[in-house]
Order: sequence, then structure tokens, then C-alpha cells
Amino acid sequence: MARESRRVKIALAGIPNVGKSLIFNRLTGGRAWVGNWPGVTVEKKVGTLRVNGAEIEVVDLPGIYSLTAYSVDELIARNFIVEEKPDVVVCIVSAINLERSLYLALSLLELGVNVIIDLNMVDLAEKEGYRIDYKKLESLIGVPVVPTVATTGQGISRLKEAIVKAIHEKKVQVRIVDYGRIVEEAISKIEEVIKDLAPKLAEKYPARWIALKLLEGDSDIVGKVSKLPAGKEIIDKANQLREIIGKKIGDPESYIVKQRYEKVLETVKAVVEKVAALKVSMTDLLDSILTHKIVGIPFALSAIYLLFRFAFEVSAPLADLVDAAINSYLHDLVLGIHGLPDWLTSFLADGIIAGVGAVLVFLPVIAFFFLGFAILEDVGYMARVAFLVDKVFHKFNLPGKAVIPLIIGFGCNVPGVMAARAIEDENERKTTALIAPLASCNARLPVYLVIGGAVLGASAGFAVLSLYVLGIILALIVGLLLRKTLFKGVSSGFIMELPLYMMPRLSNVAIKTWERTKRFLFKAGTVIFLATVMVWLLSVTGPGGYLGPEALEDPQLIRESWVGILGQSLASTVFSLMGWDWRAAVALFFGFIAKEIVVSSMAILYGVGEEKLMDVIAESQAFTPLTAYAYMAFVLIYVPCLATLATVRNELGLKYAFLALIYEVLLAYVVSLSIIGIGSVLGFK
Amino acid sequence: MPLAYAQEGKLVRIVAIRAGKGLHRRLHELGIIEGNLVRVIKTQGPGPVIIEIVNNSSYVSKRNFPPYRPIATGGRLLLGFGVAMKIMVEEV
Amino acid sequence: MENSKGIFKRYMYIIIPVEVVLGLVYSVAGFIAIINWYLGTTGTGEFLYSDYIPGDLGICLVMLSIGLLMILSAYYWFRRKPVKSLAATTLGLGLAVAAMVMQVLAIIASWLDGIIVGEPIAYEELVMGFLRAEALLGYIALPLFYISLRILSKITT
Repeated sequence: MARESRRVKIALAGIPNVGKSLIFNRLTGGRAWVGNWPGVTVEKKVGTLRVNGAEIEVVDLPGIYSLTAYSVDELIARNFIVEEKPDVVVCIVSAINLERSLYLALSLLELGVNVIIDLNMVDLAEKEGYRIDYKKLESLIGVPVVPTVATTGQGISRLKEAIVKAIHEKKVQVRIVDYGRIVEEAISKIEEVIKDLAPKLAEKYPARWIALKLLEGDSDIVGKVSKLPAGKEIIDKANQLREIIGKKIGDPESYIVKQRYEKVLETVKAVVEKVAALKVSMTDLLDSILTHKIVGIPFALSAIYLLFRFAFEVSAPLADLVDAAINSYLHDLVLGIHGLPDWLTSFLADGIIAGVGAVLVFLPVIAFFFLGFAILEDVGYMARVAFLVDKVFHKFNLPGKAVIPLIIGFGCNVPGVMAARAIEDENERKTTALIAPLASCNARLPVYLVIGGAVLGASAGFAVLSLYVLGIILALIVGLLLRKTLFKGVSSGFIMELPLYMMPRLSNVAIKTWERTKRFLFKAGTVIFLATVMVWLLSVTGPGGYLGPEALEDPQLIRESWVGILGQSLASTVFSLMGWDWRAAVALFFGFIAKEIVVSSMAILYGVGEEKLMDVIAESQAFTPLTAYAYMAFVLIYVPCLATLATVRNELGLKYAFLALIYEVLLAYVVSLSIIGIGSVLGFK
Repeated sequence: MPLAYAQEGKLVRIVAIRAGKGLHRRLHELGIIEGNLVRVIKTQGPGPVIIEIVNNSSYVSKRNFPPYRPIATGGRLLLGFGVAMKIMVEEV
Repeated sequence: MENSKGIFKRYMYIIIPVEVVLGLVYSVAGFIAIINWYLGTTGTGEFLYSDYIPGDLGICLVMLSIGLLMILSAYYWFRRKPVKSLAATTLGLGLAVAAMVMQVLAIIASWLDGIIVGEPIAYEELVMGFLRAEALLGYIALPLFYISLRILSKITT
């Protein structure tokens, strides 16, 4: 029978922080198709390895510690292996994190996978003073072991050869772990039963593995087995045996995991050899200072401050370059084209180009911010930050890990909300995703600067700083409230690997930066663009018909446009208590779509270019210092921008997106009013 | 006592884990198993902890080097406050 | 191996006190920055060393953090833990160098900005930017940082 010419497929597996992404890049040349695993918000990366004239598909499995049914990531990996039957699975084992990475390798072997082990980071192990006898490891485990240093590329060609070889010479080590007489007997009994009563299942999964999972009480396998015709019998037998084991040695699941781990420890002991005099570890030493009770936090705050400086001040020329190129040069160019009807010219210049400009002007700041953040992350510092804040966060029933999405949110809320995925506990993850929009993103800054600069004068800088702080405080408070009501649960805390400090790797940093910037560009970007065009449309038309582009420059004329009417009605009702005029109100309305728009719509409404906006606002006396501050706070809090809302919907569902929308508007309203209220009482104007 | 209260620098043995099945299993797979030894590297005590799993130190060389510390082949783990409260340990 | 460590140890004994003193200078500058900031918000306009020390809370935070790290270093020093002491000063200097780099980059950026936007560039202001407290102290910190880092890497893995 002719074999179907199936494309050869391999998978990469490994625990977090073993250099899997870098290996993936080295094997596939960096180009990958990125999507989602079906039905979940977990990223799937697929690339192509070209070697010896053949094309091999490489799938990057999520970073996992094991193949249990307790975690979505692990189930994804497990199901992928069973259903799509990759020809080889490369298990990347970190030489400086041996025990945990080998545990995964053993788990994979028990599933009957054709594994080869990529022993990565051997250079770092050498620095730590030990070496791993990989040939011995090979003989102990029974599968090929290839040492590599992913950062320099050493060993990669041998890895490729090993992969090709393994595709043709499959090695399976299902019996790699010996569980002791009692359990092994139980396993054999179940194996027999399965082979008799459920032969089809035994073809899909190794019988021994099924037996083990049944003894462990794996919910996924138990579920699958119970759906079979003979399922009940099998499960009853398994439960029987579980009870017996329970009486004789204790909880079967714990025992099995312990035995597996014992095997790992044995193996590690046998293959590790010390090669250098032991010295103090650099990471230890630095950590003793960086996680120091007193000094740790000031250092972290300073680092974040410098990150902000890097993002804002150093990117400025680029932003201005973009601004000049698009908003001035291109804009005027289009205006200079003859022979087009007025409205078309305006549409192109003030609609489309202004829209594109609005997005691209932010790009440098956001890119620089993410660049700096990615460097800190790659060095390994962010885990330490999580450690530092955990105690405080714990008071709000949140994990310290949640600080990372919040910091990312300072750049742009969209990747910030997505970063909440890293939090394991479901309730905590949802809470973090819902409070992330309270981090003051870059888009809000222009509003602060323009309004603050116009009305608050010298105190503007301090006001801006206070808003950033306010954002975090509110995030924590709201987080606590959410945890007390909707997402009840004790903080299960979090577990994080603390990697060794390393020099940041350019490729890693570049990839992370690009991925986050990309989110801004495409998700937020398209929304902002469309919003700007819409604002234009609603500004040049009104109930009385088309008003013409002159409306954009004539403050009187614009009152008659849709935008003007909307603003006036809003100002006289909803915002009357806050003393904001109709222009401010309209700007807020459009800010719902994208906070970047607030400033540009105000500019349109005042009929001036954005450079003059500050002066115009100052003169117009539309704001008093107090109302201005309240306004800025409102912008901080109200409604996540549409892109963020869409992301929340993506990650959590429509229900929660609505929740975010409503709670933020209410909160914004309450806070602004309080500011005005308290401020007046205190005598501010 | 809970791991969250352990002192910095001390070696402790894990006595019990008070957690649901999922967390229990996850901790086991990371090497936090009843009966195993763990060294507390840093703590915000009481608070989150940074620990290192100690593998019987039997591969610290018998040669005469001043042992600043045994080789740690596994990485460090950071356990949040909540998790650290669920792991009961005793000093060794 | 032991010998070269001895040589480095000797350097340590000289370098650390120097660095601690530098750190204290940073603290002083930090305090002055707070004062300047306060004066700025209450609008009296009379700054201390205004050319060199801005009234910027952020820089103040950084400078005081550096000072704090140096105090920690001194603490370890007197507790006879020279290695930890060196680690503290090195990190403090690292922060100092980072602050200097940001300032330098920011000044270069604003110079480029001026060119792009087409405004006349106030060169005097730019030069003063390069001489701002964190930049100036940072230039001194840079070689010290490099040396400390080298010593540390020889002593540790």
C-alpha cells in the first residue's frame, strides 16, 4: 500500500527559560508562521527546517514542565503529540536547570515519543563550575544527546544531523522509569485489561502510559477512557488498584511523581562532574543586593524611571521625523495637488494622512519602550521585580507577577492585557487583565502634556507623575475589589524560574520588541487610523449638510458639525458637573475610540494645528487648574481604548469586555468628581 | 512552619504541602517534594521566597576546595507569598 | 588562581572607598535636586546650582538610590564582607552610568530634534546638558564601574 507522502514534522519541547526560542530560530532561520492553537489563546509557532535538501516542519510547543492535564499548555502539547505524531520531538534540556528539564524529558519518553535531547547552555554550566558527561547521559536514558550553545550556534549543525538521523532511527523508551514492585504490578494488570478491552486506545497511546495516567487519576485520560464501551470496567479496575496502592504506600499520584523525580536525581548525580574551584556565583551576589529589602525597590524604581527616559526622550527625534514627514511634508504635498475636489483633498490630507500620522508618531516611543523593557527582561531582572513587589501585591490579593503586565501597559495597554496570560491562576489572570488598562499608556501622555502644560504651568511635571502613580494605585484597589467579589480566591501565589543573569541576547530582545510593537501597530494602529478618519468625517459634516473643510479651521463653523453638536449636548449634561466645555467633551467621546485622538480632535475643534493648541487652550480659559487635573484623571481612567477593549474581549470574552467598559467609565466619573469636590473644599481653583 | 517564614540561608526539609491537586502536582514536578531538602536563598520574610533545590550535595567534590556552596544544577525558583504559605518546612 | 585573586583583592580595598565617596556626592546632588524641585513648584525661581542640578524628581530618585547603594556598600565593608561591598558599589555605579548614558542620549536626541524640526539650536544649552550632574558624575563613574565589574567577574562565576 502506498504510503501517503506526509510532510516530516518535528516538535520542540522544553521548560521555560531553556533557550527554546533561540533554538527554534537557529533551526528554522527565524521565519515562522505564528497563530493560535485551536480554541485557546496560546500562541503556536511553526517554521521550516531545511536540511539535506529536505523540508521539515518544526512546531514550537508551549513552554511546559510536564504533560499533566492540569494546565492548558500541557494538554495542548500532549494532544499535539498524540494526534499529529511528530516524527521527532527535540526536548531542550538546560544544563543549568537539569532536574526540571530532565523531568519533562522523562515524561515525554513515557508517552512513547521519539525524543532527542538538546543539552543547551553547556557554556553556562561550565561557568558555574561543572560539566555534564553527555555520552553517559545518552547511555543512561537511551536516546541521542546533543550538547549545544544556542547563543553562539555551537552544536546546531550536529543537532540538525541528529534530527535527521532520529527521523529514520526511532528510539522509544516507554519503560524508562521503574516504579517499584507494587506499582509495576498494578501497571501490568491495567495494561492487560486495556489491551483486551480497548485495543484501539492502545494503538494511539502506549498502554503503559495509559495505565500510569489512570493510576495518577489524570482527568483527561479518565474522561477519554470512560467514553469507551468497556470504559467503566477499565476505570473500576484502575480505581481498585489505586486503593490498594493507597493503602500500601500512599497516594498513587504523589508516589508516581516522586519516583519519576527520583530517577531524574539519580541520573543527574551520575552525569554531573565538577570541573572548577567553586566560586561565589555572580547571580547570587547581584541578587543579594537587587532583592535587598531596603535597596531593592529604589533600584527598581530608578531602573523604570530610566526606562521611561529612554523611551520618551531618546525617541523624540524619530517621532518628530515621522511627524515632519507625514503631518507636514506629505500633508502639504497632498494639499498642493491641483484638480481634485475640495472634499477629496481634505479627506486625503486631514483624514487619511492625519490618521496614519496619528499612529506612526507614537511608534518610536512605543518601540523604544518595549526595546528597553525587553532588555531588562532578557537580562533576567523582571523576575526580581516580581519578587520585590509580591509582598505588597499580596495585600491586594494579587500575585507579584502581575506587576509585569502593568509595566508593559505603560507602553501600550494592548500587549499589557495580553501579558496577563502568563499568570497561571485563572481568577488572578482575569483580574490582572481587567486592571491592566489602568496603567497610563503612552497614548495618554500627549493629553497630559498639552492640557497640563497649558493650564498647570510649572506643576505640570508633577501632575503627570501623580497620574502615573494614581493609575497603579487604582489598579491595585480595583484588583482587590475584583478579587473580593467576582474573582474570589486566596492568592495561590505564583512560581517563577529565576534565571541566571545574562548579557541580553540581541535576537531575543529584537523578537520580543517586535512582537509587542507589532500588536500596537496592527491592532491599535488600525483602530486609531479609522477613528481619525471618522472624526474628520463628523467634523466636516453636520445636520445641515456638508460644511466643507473650512470647518476644520473655523471654530464657529465647527459648532454646527455633528461633532460640535455632540459635544455641546454632552457638555451640558453628563459633564456639566465637571465644568468641561463642549470641545473637551467631544474630545473625550472620540478618545473612547483611541486615546491618541483626544489631542488631535481638540486641535480640530479649536481650529488650530497641534503646535498652537497649548497656547490656545491656555488663553481660552476653558479649564481651571482643578478641572484640568480632573480631566487628565478622567482620560487616565475612563474606558480602555477600543483596541484594548477588543483585546480584553479576545482574552476573556465579551462579558468581561463590557465589565471593563462600564467599571472604568464609572470609576473615571467618580474619581474626577471627587478630585473637583475635594479640590474645591481644599481651596484649589 | 510555612516556607514563607523560613530564614535566609537556611537549609530546610519539606514536611507537608497544603494545596489542591493541581498545585500539589506542579510543586512535586518542580522538585518540591515531601522529604526533600531546599535552601532558602532570599526571603522578604515573611513573604515570597527564592529557593534552590538541594540534591543531597553528594557531588560537592571531595577535594580540598573551600566549599562556598555545592553545585547547583537546577535553577532557582521564586515562590510567591501565597505558595510559600502552603509549603510546610522544618529546619535542618 | 589564588594569586591573581590576591592582586584583585588589593585593588578592592582602594576602589571601594573611592566609589562610596562618589556615591555620597550623588546623594548630596540628589538632595539638592529635591530642593530645586520644591523651589520650582512654589515658583520662587531661585535654584541652587541650577545649571548642573535640575529640579527633576526622577533624577533625584536615581541619585538617592545610588547613594543608598553606596551606604549599603559601606555597611558591608564594615561588616567585613568586601565582596558584597564591591557588588553594592558596582550596582550603584551601574545605575550611575545608566543615568549618564540616558542623559547623553537625550541631549543628542534633542540636538537631532532641533535639526529635524528646523529650529535654531542653542548650543550653549546642549553643552550644559552634557555637563548636568548625572552626566558629569557619570563620566567619573564609568571607568570605576568598568574596573569594579572586571574585579567582580574574576571573583565570581
